[in-house]
Parts: sequence; C-alpha cells; structure tokens
Amino acid sequence: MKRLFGVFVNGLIVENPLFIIMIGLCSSMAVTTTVANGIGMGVALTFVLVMSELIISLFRNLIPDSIRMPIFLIVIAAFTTIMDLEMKAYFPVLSKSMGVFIPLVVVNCIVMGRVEAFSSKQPVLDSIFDGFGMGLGYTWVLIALAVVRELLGNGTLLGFQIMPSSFSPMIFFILPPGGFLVFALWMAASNDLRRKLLAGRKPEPTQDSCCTLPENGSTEKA
Amino acid sequence: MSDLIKIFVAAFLINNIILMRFIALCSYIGMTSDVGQSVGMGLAVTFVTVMASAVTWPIYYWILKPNGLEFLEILVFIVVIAALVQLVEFYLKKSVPALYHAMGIYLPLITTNCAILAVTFDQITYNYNFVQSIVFAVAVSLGYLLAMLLLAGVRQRLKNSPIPSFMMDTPILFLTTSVIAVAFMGFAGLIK
Amino acid sequence: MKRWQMIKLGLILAMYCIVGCVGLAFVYNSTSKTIAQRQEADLQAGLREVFPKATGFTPTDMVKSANPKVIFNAAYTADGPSGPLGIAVKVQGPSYGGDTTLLVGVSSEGIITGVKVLENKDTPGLGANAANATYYVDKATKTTFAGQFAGKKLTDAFEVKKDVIPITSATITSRSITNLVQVVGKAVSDALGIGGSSQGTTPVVPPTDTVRPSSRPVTSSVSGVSILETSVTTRGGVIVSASVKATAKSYDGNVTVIVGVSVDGTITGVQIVSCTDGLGNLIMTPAFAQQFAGKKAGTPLEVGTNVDAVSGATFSSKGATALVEATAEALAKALAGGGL
Repeated sequence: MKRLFGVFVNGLIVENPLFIIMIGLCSSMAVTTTVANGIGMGVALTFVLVMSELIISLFRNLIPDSIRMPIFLIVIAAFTTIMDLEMKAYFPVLSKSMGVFIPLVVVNCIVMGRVEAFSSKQPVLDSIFDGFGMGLGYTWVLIALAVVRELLGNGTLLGFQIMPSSFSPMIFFILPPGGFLVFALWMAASNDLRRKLLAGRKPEPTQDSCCTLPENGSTEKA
Repeated sequence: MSDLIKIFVAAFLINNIILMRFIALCSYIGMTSDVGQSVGMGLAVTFVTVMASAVTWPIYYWILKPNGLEFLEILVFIVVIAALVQLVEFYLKKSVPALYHAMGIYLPLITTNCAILAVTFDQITYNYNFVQSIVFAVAVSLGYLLAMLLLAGVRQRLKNSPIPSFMMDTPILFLTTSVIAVAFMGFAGLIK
Repeated sequence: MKRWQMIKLGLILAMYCIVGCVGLAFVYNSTSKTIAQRQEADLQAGLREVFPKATGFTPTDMVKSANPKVIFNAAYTADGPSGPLGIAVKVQGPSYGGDTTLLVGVSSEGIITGVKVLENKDTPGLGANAANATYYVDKATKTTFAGQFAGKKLTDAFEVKKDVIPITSATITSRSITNLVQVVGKAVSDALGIGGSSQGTTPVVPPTDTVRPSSRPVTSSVSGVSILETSVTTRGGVIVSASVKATAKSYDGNVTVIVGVSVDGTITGVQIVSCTDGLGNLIMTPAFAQQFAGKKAGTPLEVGTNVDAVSGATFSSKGATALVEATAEALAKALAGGGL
C-alpha cells in the first residue's frame, strides 16, 4: 500500500509532468483560459492515461519489443478517440472549446512517456496508480494556471464573477503571451520551493526522451 | 490566389503554431539550446509535415469520409504519420545519406511532434482543399522553424546573461517566449 | 526465418489494429446516436430561442445565400397560431479562427427576432465570447453580443462600433457575425418580399418619372465593366435621366450596382445590388450608396478623398466606387449623345 501511495505521489509532486519533467506542455497553456476548460482537459488526459496504462500493463508480456511503439500508439489513439466521442456526446460545449487539443492528447508526451517508461514494465495496480498520480499532477497544475488567468483576465472563477465590478479585466492574461508568463512564474515558484526543500541533495530530473535528443544521440547515430 | 496568401500569412505569423497556439512546445523548449539543432529540427518537421498533409488529405476525403469512418481519424492519422516517418528514415538512410546525417537524427522525435498531427487535423476542420492544405502545412511548419530559430538565438545570449536565480533554466525561457509572443500579437492586424 | 518473424510481427500489429478499430466502431455507434439527438435537441432549443413566439418549425428552401462564402445549412419557417411568423436560418460563414455557425431568426415584418451562436472557433476569451452566455457587451442590461441583434430592423446600418457593440478585442469576430446576420436578413427579406433591405428603398431616379427600356444599350469604355441593362426615365416624353445596371470584378468577387444619372450629368442615386466579396455585403448599407448622390458624373471618385469606405471592407468599397465612377461617366456620355 505504501508503495502504491509512493507511486501516486511521485506523479502528483515529485515528478510532476509539467513542472519537473516538462512534458505535455502544449495543452497546459492552450486550454487554461478558464478553470472549467482546465479541469475538463485534466480529466480527459487522466482518463486516457489511466486506461492506456492499464491496457498496456495487462498486455505487457504480449507486446513484442520491436513493435511496441506502434502498438502503444494504437492503444493511446483508440482511447483518445473514445474520450473525444464521449466528450462530444455528453459535454459538447467543453469539447468545442478545447478543439484540436483533444485529439492532440494522442501525442501528449505524458501518455507516451509514462506508457513507455512505466506501465510497459510494471504490474497493473502500480500502473493505474501511476496513471492517476500523473493525471492529477497534470490537472492541478492546469487548475493553478487557469485560476490566475481566468481571475485576472476575465474577473471570474468557473464563470462566477469574483472581482468587483470596478475591476477591468486584463485581457493580456487570456492571450497567448499571458499564458507563457503565468506558466513561467508558476514554474519559477515551484522550482524555487523545490530547491529549498531539496537543499543539499541533487535530484535533477531526467528530461523525457520524446522531445530531446539523448545525450550522445548525435554521435551515436551519425 | 489571395486566399492562399491569406492562409499562408495567418498560419505563418498571426496564428503561429508555437507562439500563438502553444502547439509543439516540448520540442520548442527541448531542441533550441543550439541554433544548428533548432534549424535541423525545424527543417525535418517542415519536410514531414508537408508530406503528412499530402498523404492524410486523400486518406480522409477518399477513404474515411466516403465510408463513414471519420471516427477513425485520430487512429489512422497517427499511424500513417508514424509509418511515414519510418519510411522517410529508411529512404534517407539508403538513398540520400548526406541529408540523413543532417536530418535523420531528428526523425524519431517527430512522430510525437504535436505540430504535424495538429496540421493534419486542422486542414480537415477548416475544410481546406488539397492545395490550401499544402500551403497551410508549409506555412505552419515555417512558422515553427521561425519560432524555434528566434528562441535559439535568444538562448545564445541568455547563456551569458545575469538571470535572477529563481528564474534560472526553464522559467526564463517561458518569460522570453512571452515577450516574443507579445511581439507576434502585433501581426494580428495584417489580415482583415 | 527472418521473414517469418516479420510476418508474425505484422500479424500481431494488425490484430491490435483490428481490435482497436472494432472497439471504436462500437463506441462510435453508441455515441453517434447521442450526439445526433443532442444536436437535434440543441437545434430545436436554439430555434425556439431565436423565435420565442413560434409554435413549430418547418424546413424550407425558400432562402438562398447571395454570398458563396456564406452557407445556409438549413432554413425553417417559424409557424405561429395564425400562419408563418418568419424564417429562421442556420448559417455558416468565415470568422477569425474558422467557420462560425449561427441561428438567425427574421420576422415577416423585417425585424431580427434573435441570434444564437451555435459554433465559434475563435480565440478563447476573446472572439469565443460571442458564444458565451455570460459575456455581456452591455453589462447594465445584461445583453450578450448575439443578444443585441434581437429587435433590430433590417434597415439598420449593421455597422460594428456604430449600431453594433463589438466584443472587446475581437473586432473581426464581431464584424463577421454581424455580416452573417445581415446576409441572412437580406436573403429572408428577398424571399418574403419585404421592403427594408437596401433593395427598393433607395430609388436611383426620382419616383415620379416614367421608366422605359432605352432604345440603344450604353457601353462603357472602361475594361472589365459590363453594363447589363439600361433604362431611361422620361417626364412628359422628354428624357430627364437614365439608369443602368452594371457589374465588374471587385476584391475577390463581383460587385453589381444600379446607377442613375440625370441629363445635367449629376448622379441621382446609386444602389449596390450585390457584392460577393468576402465581407462584401458590408458595403450594401444605404449610407454607403447615398454618398454618391449629387456628385457630378465624370469627376474622379476616390475612396479616402471624396468617398468614405465602409470600415472592414475597404477593397470592396474601392471596387464599387470605381464601378460607379465608370458607369456614371458612360451614362453621362450616352445622355449627351442622345438617341436613348
């Protein structure tokens, strides 16, 4: 039980996909103009992540190593489509406002990265907990970003007017540059906190391989 | 003709895929520590995006749509792109080794590059015809290259700049991007 | 051996693919019904929203879009207790981030009964506020952007920042939606034959005169301008003025105008009949056409100096102005030459 909890917290905080490993960034800024969108995207990604990790972990001994990537892609794409269709059927407004970022979950490095690094090697229960941990780790960051952006950019939270009516919304925060700025500041805060907490130890996170070249990649392949 | 130019300018500058639409941010942060690397990645993405666009358009309109299989869009597109990247890699390795050395190392990263998949979905969403789709793909990927190059250039300077310790590493990159994005907002008035 | 290995891998991959596709087909089957039902329910609710007084809706194909970039997906006659009340149109046309879909209701009296944004892909937080039910362009009265069109007359100018309050920082979205509403308004008024659109309200020649077709056609020396019909007006058998319908290429479509010129070479009136440019029907406001009246035929007309462009449609304004100039000159020459 303790081990499972550790796996869960790992995704939630220690190896937070957005702040620490820095993967799956695209959707994090694009959909966080409102808190509702942020929650919607977080839940959608968590669903795809948990289901993909579950299936891959179940079948991990039936997946030949040499074609594991295409199979991962097929599984993830299938769950993304299911999620896309369900969203269209039951949350049409949310589905419309997130647009292309729903199908883009399929190439979200969080899903691919976790499937490859974790569930293709770990038992089912661990994989599910990892999926929930990573998914919620992604979701809370999305909400954190969205709260700042919606509050300052629109004066509302979840659609309810929070700021006094004399407050004139700073549209900047819901525009793209505002998204980058809010993310930079949140990340700076999170990094700063981490540095203080982990003073003395050296836990530099490993960059995910889906977005950067391996250290010796260029010499090895060339 | 004028609508092609409009599509080009809109996709290249006004709705720049990285700076305005936040797509493909992973490689934007991961691959810009070196100018040469960012150009290599940018060109590889351009190459694959245009090919992917040219391949997925007929698949959607000639195979999926007539048979009512639109719901397989995501699955088919991602598999096609993955296969395409593999083929390009094989072909370049065998036939054009020079190009392979310049571009080949980036190809494995490209399958999961959001920009390519986003282009193939967008051309369907926007109801573009084949020519418009190709122009759109070229414009989006050049926009990607431009944004990569801009950040890579700034990063050369950042290496020797005094940065407040709490903004070190990635936060300063996003802060820089925010400023570049503000500049790109100015393009919004180019097209009515 | 290696070949067998390859085939085996291929088969495994194909199996995963087939299982995936079949699974998706099942999910699609179960959700597609819900999606279709929901869309139908949304449509009915939307129709009731734009036409609150109607008791039912019957599909109709009476209305046609005059602009090739604006597509009418569907049109419905709004039925009331005593006959039809008007027409509601589901219209789709270009906006900032792709096509926008609206429902527009127009009553038989030429009044917009309501507008609802069904789909909008513009910038979240800016243009997308067009579809936001809690974004008010007028906070005091809680009027949404689409809500402000209800009660508007088709004869109104439909000019963003004048009689239409725009969404903050989303002028293009505001303009495209206004444009779509106007296209529908015009189409409905044409179909029902109600006055109120630009057609018929701005006579190009004084109404007291008798009109007959001209005895010889007028031609323009300016290339690209084709004159479709010519008619002359007479008072007591004497020609007092003449008018022609002419068409020419504009920005990315065609513009057609009717120009009237009196024997003393003054433009008596201009009517913009149609303009198929992207935002071309913005120039179909009476205010734009009216400014030509009283100008001398033959004087150069130039947007920016003696003609005001319609904001958002500068190129279309220029195209129409050039056509009016060429036509008026040809007409003045023909009148001076006599024999019409």
